[in-house]
Amino acid sequence: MHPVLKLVAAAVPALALGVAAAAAEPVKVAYLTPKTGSMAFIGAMYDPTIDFVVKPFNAAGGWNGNPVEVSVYDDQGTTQGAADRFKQAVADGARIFIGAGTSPLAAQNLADIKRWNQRNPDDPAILLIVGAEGVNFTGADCSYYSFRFTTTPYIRQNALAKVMKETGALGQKVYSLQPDYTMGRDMEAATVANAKTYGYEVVGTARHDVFKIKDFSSFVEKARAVAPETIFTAGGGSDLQLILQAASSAGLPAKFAGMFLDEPGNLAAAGPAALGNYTAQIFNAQAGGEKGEAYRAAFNAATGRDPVAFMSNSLITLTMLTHAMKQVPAAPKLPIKALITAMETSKTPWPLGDLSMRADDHQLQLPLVVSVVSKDAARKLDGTDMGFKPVKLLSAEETSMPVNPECKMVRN
Amino acid sequence: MDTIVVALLNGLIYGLLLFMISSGLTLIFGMMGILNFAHASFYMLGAYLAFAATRIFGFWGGIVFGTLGVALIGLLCERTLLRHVRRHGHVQELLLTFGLSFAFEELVKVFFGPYAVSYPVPESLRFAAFSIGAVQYPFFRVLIGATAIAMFAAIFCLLRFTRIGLVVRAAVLNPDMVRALGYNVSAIFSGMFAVGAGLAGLAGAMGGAYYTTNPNMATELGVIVFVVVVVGGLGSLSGALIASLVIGVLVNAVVYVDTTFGDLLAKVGIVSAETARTLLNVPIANTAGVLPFLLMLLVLMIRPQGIAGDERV
Amino acid sequence: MSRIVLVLLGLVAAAALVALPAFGGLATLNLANKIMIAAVFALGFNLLWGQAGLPSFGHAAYYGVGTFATIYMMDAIDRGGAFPTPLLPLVGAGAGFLFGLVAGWFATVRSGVYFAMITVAIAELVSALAQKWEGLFGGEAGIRSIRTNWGPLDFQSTGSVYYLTLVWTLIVLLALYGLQRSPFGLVVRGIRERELRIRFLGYDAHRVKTVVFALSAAVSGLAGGLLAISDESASMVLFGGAGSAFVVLNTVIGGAGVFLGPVIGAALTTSFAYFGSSLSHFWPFYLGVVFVVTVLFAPEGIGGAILARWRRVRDGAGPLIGLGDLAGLAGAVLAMAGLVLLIELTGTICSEAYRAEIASLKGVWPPVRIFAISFAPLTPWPWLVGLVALIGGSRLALGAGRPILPRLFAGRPGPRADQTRPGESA
Repeated sequence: MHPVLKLVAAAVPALALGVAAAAAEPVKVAYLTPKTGSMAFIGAMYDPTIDFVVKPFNAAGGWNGNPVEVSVYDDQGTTQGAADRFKQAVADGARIFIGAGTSPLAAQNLADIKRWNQRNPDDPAILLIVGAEGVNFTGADCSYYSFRFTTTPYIRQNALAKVMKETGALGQKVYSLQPDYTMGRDMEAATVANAKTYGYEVVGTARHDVFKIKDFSSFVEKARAVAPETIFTAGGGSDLQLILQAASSAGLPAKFAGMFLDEPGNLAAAGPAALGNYTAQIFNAQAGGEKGEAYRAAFNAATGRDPVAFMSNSLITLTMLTHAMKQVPAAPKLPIKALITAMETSKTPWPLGDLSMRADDHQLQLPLVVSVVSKDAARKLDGTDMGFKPVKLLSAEETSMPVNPECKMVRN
Repeated sequence: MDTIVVALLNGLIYGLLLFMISSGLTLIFGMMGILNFAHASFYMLGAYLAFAATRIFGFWGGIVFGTLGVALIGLLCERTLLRHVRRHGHVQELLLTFGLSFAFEELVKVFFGPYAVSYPVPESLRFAAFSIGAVQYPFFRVLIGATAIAMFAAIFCLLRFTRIGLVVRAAVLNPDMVRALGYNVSAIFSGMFAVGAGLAGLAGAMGGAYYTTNPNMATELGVIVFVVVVVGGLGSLSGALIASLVIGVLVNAVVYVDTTFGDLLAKVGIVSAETARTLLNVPIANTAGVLPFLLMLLVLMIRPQGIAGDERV
Repeated sequence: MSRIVLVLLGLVAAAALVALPAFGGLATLNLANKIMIAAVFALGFNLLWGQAGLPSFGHAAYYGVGTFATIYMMDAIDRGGAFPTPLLPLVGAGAGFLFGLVAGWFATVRSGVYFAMITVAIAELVSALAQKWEGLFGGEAGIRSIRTNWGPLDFQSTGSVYYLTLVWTLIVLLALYGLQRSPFGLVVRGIRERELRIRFLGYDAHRVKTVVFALSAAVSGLAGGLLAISDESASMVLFGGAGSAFVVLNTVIGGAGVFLGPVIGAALTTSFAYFGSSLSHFWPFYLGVVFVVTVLFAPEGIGGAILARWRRVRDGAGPLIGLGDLAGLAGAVLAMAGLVLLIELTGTICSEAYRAEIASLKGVWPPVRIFAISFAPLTPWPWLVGLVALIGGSRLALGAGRPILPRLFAGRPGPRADQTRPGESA
């Protein structure tokens, strides 16, 4: 065949396919997360979660016959990168954005969404925040067009203190060791504020520079001097690993209560030092009984690992998004405002209990599991002989905190 | 009293670890004039190689493998890359190592993924060496300190009292003359670079086990090793040792300080008590991470040759 | 003849730049904006490095300060302030200048490695301050504002930001070119070459270096201001090490000794990051390799190589592209392709997702897809192909002992760092 003819022959079916695809216009979702740079370990968590939720949803017909198409954009862990990827994704046709990075990255995403909606009121976009725990997202910066699918340091500290008080693990003397940035300062404030409620005394506070301290032994010794029974920390990543290591090798008798202990790699890096410490988890299969175990097994079969840390938040985000889409009637283009309403009003089933999105501040209402690192856990993680043994499952009502008075949401 | 002793000991041992990492850097600079930006990467590679080898050779085998492996990588870098830019001057060498540090960090992620890996100190080495009051002092910390001291003694004696040391020192001062005497100067330089890299590899193999092994460990350590060699005096081994110990003790001690910058300045009378409570209400204990940089700035301003560097700056 | 060609080329480039918003979409325009911002930043950095010979490894500090200052001014305008929006980058430049004056006075007391270390220390301190001082830097949330229209000028669209950025980029280019050719520029280069002589001529070298530092910081701050206008936000993340590292990367790859070198480098790496990030998650590794290869074989950067080639053609010393060059280029491309294949293969089979797939297939290693081609990782072929391409390509590029690649880049035998001087170039 003549080369040109060959080209035409190849193009005709491709064109036909294009026409067929136009009939079922995909709903484009942009997943913004760091895949490279020093934050790459955050973005790596989300890889397995997307297909796990979206594939079955599309197989069942998607949104009225239109498949959901999730594209991952690498923001490189910088705010400049986040701004660039937002513009790239919006040009690609995405109007639903999933911001799965740190608080500064989510703040950039939110700024971009707000500006876009201000300039394009007829073509709005929404932001689903997966992993940013800054108070501002449901406080001063709360928005009709953004939703937070995780907790705040206040919610986690409250859950931890509540359960540890009940089981007698908390003790009378509590210490606060925090990374010296917004989230750490919030966790410290929460620890101080809850002292009366849960009947403990804050015997000391300390903050450390983020990702700058290699040797935490002096922080450990400083804490030891006031003999705390429980130490709250909002530290994550290598900071948390190093703190646990230092405490364990120096034989500090206190236990830690943290937010991010179940991030992949933490148990592996901390080793036996992690044992006996508490964390507030988004998901724990053992706590969810049969339903939880079935969910975990299905996820593991598809991806080769158990859902932990912010993977669970991503699963929740995608599940709630697709669940809300089911309630939006067919239209030429997915109506964003109808989607927001569906998100605010629907209850989404989840192995640990129903999930809902509070309309007043768009803060997710979710059950939390307070767990302790133990060798008796049903599932071992990170190739170690340790896992997270649930202490108590708190329902969404029990974890809920009042609406932040700083949130003045303009509903349009 | 116990607290002070433990704090001092913690500071000294952290300082000795810093020395372990930075001795190679200062050695390479002193001998070859190369400010090796990839040095912290060698530390990271040491930890990862040791981690990979531990499964096959056991913990000690892993430490040896990590050290020798990084020495070999250093040798290859010197012979295939650095050597070729030497004629363009030291800045070009510095740029090359800067690029290498960038590539190494990503290469580690290609092989070992983005998460921290499980490379712990083996159970058999997790015991207390001695106790001070209520504190059981961990054996592995003592081991790190002892290794660093042995390392310092070995390098010092090698350079000072052996024939090899004599030739090396001569090659630095007058390479042409040493070449004329029949020594292979380029092999000497390659060897020096390999030894310097290997020292970082050893530090990584031990530090990675005691602390953590993750792809960010080079970046997180990054600049502090430069602080050590600059404060100590570029190229001076004993200077690096003193600087390491000073910085180690300082960042550990500052955590215990229970006052704010504002209060300190108010006491001296620079600012009012009102400003001290509001604007400058920064606890000094929170600044452990940035203190080394302040120290470096101070040293560079007042005594740029560092504690023990030569006066020709 | 060559002058006519240059003028024509210039006209075509100008027309293309002016017409871009008519053809480019939002993403393309944003890419163009970010290239120009990176270029201005790199030009500012290179004023210090290329002209004064002072290597700064902490330039993100001045860039970030410029961004924050501009955001504050944008906020003031939004609340009814009278400052004209098009002049906003001057706020960033002013902030950068003032900060640079103070930092530069300290830093330029020393030179060489010691100077570099002072800049690093200052950048680290500013970065720590930005994390701790939430009131000013907005903590993790950062601060944000919005572009306000000025008179008849509308600044809401990305296209309008593009024109604003373009105009400022041209202003910076002209100003820096003028500065370089001025007597002051000559003194600055004199200090780089032999500071002592300049002092004997009666100049206060420290004062001159302080001013150059401040000017460099001002241009960096201006780039930060342009970023503020484009992204409408500022965050403490800007002060991180990545910013300081990338500006060095841009300048070296483009060529510090050529006036337009930093612009070329900024265009290349920004586009690379833009397109590469959606193709492979190992793109920073490839960028690192490109950087190392540039330092090895083209110490004057890509800009330097182009300039040398241009001179060779002008002097009639050789053709624009010879047979050896083509072979060298082909070799380089082949070697890079081989490297990419090997790295992508390794990265994929070492990844968690792939191990999960093996587990779900009960021990069978599924094929690895790289850029739409499937490879069987357990057979030796893909590895052999990669290795052969890498080694064969490098040998071809290096001409097996008779290096073609260095000649290709340098245009003449034995390139030396000190042969092309910015003063003579461009």
